[in-house]
Amino acid sequence: MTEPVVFLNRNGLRLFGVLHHPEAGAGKGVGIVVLPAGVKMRIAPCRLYNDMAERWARSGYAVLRFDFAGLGDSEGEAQEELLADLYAAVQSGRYVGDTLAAMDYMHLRLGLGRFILTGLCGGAITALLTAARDSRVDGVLGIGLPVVPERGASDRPRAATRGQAEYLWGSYGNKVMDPGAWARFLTFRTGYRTVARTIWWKLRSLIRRGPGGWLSSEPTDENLHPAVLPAFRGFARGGAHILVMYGGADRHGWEFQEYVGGPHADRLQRLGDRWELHVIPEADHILSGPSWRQEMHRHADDWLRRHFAEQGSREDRTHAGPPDNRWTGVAN
Amino acid sequence: MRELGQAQTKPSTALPEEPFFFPGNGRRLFGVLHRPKGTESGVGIVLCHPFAEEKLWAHRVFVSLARDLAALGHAVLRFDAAGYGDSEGAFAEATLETQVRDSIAAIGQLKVQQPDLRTVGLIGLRLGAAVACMAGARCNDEVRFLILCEPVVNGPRYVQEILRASLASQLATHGRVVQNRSAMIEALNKGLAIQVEGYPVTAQLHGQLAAIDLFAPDTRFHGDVLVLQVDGRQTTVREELQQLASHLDGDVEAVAEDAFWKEIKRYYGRADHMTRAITTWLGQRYD
Repeated sequence: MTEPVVFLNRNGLRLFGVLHHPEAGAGKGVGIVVLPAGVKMRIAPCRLYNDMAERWARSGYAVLRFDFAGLGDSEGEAQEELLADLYAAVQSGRYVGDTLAAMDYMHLRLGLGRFILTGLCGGAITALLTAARDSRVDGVLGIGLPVVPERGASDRPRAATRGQAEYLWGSYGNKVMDPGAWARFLTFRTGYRTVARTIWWKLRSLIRRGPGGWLSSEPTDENLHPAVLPAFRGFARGGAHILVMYGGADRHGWEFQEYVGGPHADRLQRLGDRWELHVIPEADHILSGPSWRQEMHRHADDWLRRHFAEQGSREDRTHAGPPDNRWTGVAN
Repeated sequence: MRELGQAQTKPSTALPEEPFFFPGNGRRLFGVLHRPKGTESGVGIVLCHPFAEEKLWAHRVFVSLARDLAALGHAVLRFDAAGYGDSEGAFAEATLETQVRDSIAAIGQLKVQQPDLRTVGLIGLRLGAAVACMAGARCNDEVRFLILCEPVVNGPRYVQEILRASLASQLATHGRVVQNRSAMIEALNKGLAIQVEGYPVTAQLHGQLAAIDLFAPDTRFHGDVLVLQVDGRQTTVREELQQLASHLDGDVEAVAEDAFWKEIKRYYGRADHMTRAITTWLGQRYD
């Protein structure tokens, strides 16, 4: 059963959401909070979040999808003029407070004290940042987790990864014989900056010039979101579990590999089975294809089963207790 | 929160904005009722949303519009058609016809929630404007006005636009076209669904979209009409919108807004020019 809900965040703003009550028996002892991706509200592109929530509710989880303040149906206003700036604000942790309020609300309504946080893109980074701060979080499922802070479109070529540049170079090969691509190129509908930088990168790699410049052969931590690694390590060390999933064609996945997975492989290895990475071949950032979604669901279901199936019923695991700074405002 | 049926009365303690489910054509439809603030105008408005991902991009503008209208004393119902948002049903089951019928169900629900309304109208954006026009034509005795924002007027051209969007998204994802236009048309002709930016477009939906013709007799609405061209680049109203306004004996106006129903660089939480045009037009007629 789904129930529209309204609850207050810690600034007194009304946040709108939908609570999916568990369908199976007494319900699991851990609740799932699904965090909005970017500006796409609690639905997510192509109703991805509805699919996820309904599936997990059928498995016995209580699931809350809600809108951050200023987005979706919720009160408040986002003041940014550019979308990229709003994404950057999300990635900086603007909505950690709203996520804490959501967990408070689920505790108040359903007596749940342990949570799994999940989301796509901005929702994934919000989940990770919240988990690092609040001991009630037992798991993070991050889809398309951004590890490089959002930049405006004009800066994106500057920060492109080696993998992205290789991908672009390959795609240009296909376009050489494509009249449509030439039509776009000649009528100012192509990203000339991206093309120029990709070609320059390829030429430079061919003549083997040293590292440096806009695309270093050695990714540096300067591009890495400063909170990602500490959040990852701190959260997983506390006994929690992280599953990170990317589409194979998602640039965020390339960034993860080049800035986190590669350079910090040994640190991640020390986390053991506390963290997992799954890449869905050829999938885009929003997992728009049905088969991609199915694979995401299968992998997520398996992860939940392995790590959270024995968490007991809700009755057994109530009153784990929110932190002392909890806020329990309810609007309905 | 509550689930509302046709027989429910207005609650005694009510939030200014209340999300709820209501019955519509055999499904639970999700809606948000924006109660009028201050002196009630007696005007109720149902907002009809655009197609697929355009709905998500335009969502916050709709929310802001609803709040601005409620602040002027109008009652507003925003809702998700079946297969969209939080309403029941799969997107693959949604058609233009189901969206029109759900809009009519929303009109009925608004009148249940706000029984003192004297005037009811529809505001639609893009495909939602076409839906509003078709719903209004079927409910000429119940609906007093239509406001059609950047309406989809020509079905065949709109379908081509949708197919182009699919091609663009294939290029962005795969670096190549996996299913070209001809292959998509062939699939549809065989009764198969195609994927458009993650949404399954069935042959039935495709056929109904291609058949949109707001000049057809069965979409002839007899009430007050405002056609709004929403375009950041053009200040002169396009010929087809002028013709539509003329066909419906309505008014037409151009407002300068970016295409906020698409992914653009600017973040659009509100469309003030569009809102002003709407509230001014309503104020001139129904105050």
